[in-house]
Amino acid sequence: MGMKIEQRTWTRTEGWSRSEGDSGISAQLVLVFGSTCALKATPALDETRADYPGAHLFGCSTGGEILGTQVLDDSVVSTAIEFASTEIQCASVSVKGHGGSFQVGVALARSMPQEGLRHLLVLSDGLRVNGSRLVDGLESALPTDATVTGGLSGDGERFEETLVVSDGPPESGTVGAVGFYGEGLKIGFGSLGGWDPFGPERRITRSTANVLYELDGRSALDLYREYLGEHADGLPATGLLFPLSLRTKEGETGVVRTIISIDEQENSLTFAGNVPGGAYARLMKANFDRLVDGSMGAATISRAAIGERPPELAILISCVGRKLVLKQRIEEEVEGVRDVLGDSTPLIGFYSYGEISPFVPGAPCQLHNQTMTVTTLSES
Amino acid sequence: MENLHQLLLRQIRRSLEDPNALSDDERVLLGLVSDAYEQFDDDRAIMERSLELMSKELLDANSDLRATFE
Repeated sequence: MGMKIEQRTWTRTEGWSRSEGDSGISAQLVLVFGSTCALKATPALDETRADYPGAHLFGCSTGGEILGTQVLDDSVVSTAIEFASTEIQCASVSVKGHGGSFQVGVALARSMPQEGLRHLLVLSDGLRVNGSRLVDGLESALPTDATVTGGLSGDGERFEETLVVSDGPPESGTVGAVGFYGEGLKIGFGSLGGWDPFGPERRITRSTANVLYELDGRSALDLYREYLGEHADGLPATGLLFPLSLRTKEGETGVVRTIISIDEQENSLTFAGNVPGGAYARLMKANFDRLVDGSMGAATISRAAIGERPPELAILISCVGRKLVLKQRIEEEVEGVRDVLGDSTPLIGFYSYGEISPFVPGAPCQLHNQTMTVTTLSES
Repeated sequence: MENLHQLLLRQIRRSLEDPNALSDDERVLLGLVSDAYEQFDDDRAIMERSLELMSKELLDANSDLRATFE
C-alpha cells in the first residue's frame, strides 16, 4: 500500500547515481529539479525518460537542489513516484509578458480536468511571471476545495534564464502543473519565513503591479543601493539580503517580497509578486536561528495536516535568499525538516525565486518569498 | 594558503610547527573554515551598515518632526 518511491542524483562527473534496491518502479510521476545548465545541456533528462517510460516528467531549474538532507548545486535530483490509487494529470501554459500572469493562471487551471481534482503542484518560470497574479488566476478558476502549492523556478544567483519541465524538453517562459486526483491522497502544507523586519516603516508611494519605484517619495532602488553598499553591484541577487515585508492593513500578517530584476533606466525594482501602492513596507534581515526554526515550523504545520503517520513524501521549496545568507549552514534548515518529519519520509525539493502556498491549511494561497514551503503527501 | 582569512592564518602560524606539512584534506577544511570567517565578517559589516543608516534615517525624521512642532 501507499506510494513507492525512488530517488536519484545526477552530477556532471558521476552521471546518475542509483540508490540501493533501485529497480525501476512503474512510476506515474517523476519530479526533477536541476540547475539551468545541467537541465539544458545534458542527457540527464533523456535517461530519466528512458528509465521511467510511463511517467510524467515534471520539474524546473533551481537555485540549488535538495535530496534527502543534502543541498546540491549544478546537479539534477529526481524522485519517481508510483502511487497506489492516486491519479495524476500534467499540463503547461506558455507565458507572454507580465501583464498576462492572471490569465496564465486561469488557462492553466482550466487545462486540468476539474472533477475530483484534489491538489495542484505548480512550477512557474521565475523571471517572467508576476507570482501574485498567477496565484490569483489559479485560485479564481479552480474548484474551491482544490489546494495549490508550488514555486517559481530559479537560476542560481544569475537571474538570467529559468526553465520548467512539463513532459517536454525544459523551456523558459512556461508555467506547468501536476494535478492530483483521488480520495486516498492526503496533502499537507505549510510555509514560514523567519526574517526580522527592521528600521522605519515606509509607505509605497509609487508602484505598478510588481514594479516598485518609490518609497516615501524617494527612489526605492537608491535605498537598496545605499543599504547594500559595496554589494549593490550584485543586484538583483544581493537584494535577497534585504527582503521587503509588506502589509496593507493594520495588524495583518505581512507577506514578504524579493527583487527579481532591476531597471537602471526606469530606476525601478521588479518583485516576484505585487507591491501595491499605499501599502507599508519594511526592510528585513536574516536571523539564522529563526530561519531554521521557520523551516521546522513549516514542516510541523505540513505534517500535522497528514495525520498520525509520517508522510510518504515531502516536497521542499525554499527561497534562494535563504541559501544566500545561510551559505555553508544551509543544510541545517533541511535537517530541521528531517527532524520534524522523521527518517522514513523521502525529501526532494529546490531553492526557488518564490514559493506558492497558504501559510497554513485553510488560509488563502499566496505567493511568498524567503520562506521554506513544505508540501507533504500520503496515501492512506 | 596565502588567501586564507587573516585571523585563521595567524592561528595557523601560532599553533602549527610546519604549516606546509598540511595534507590536501586539511587544506580543504581550512578553506571552508576561512570562508565561514569571511562570511561572518561580511554579515557583520552589512548589519553595522544597516544600523548606521537606520539611525541616521531616524535622527533625520526626528529633527524634521521637531522642526514641524517648533
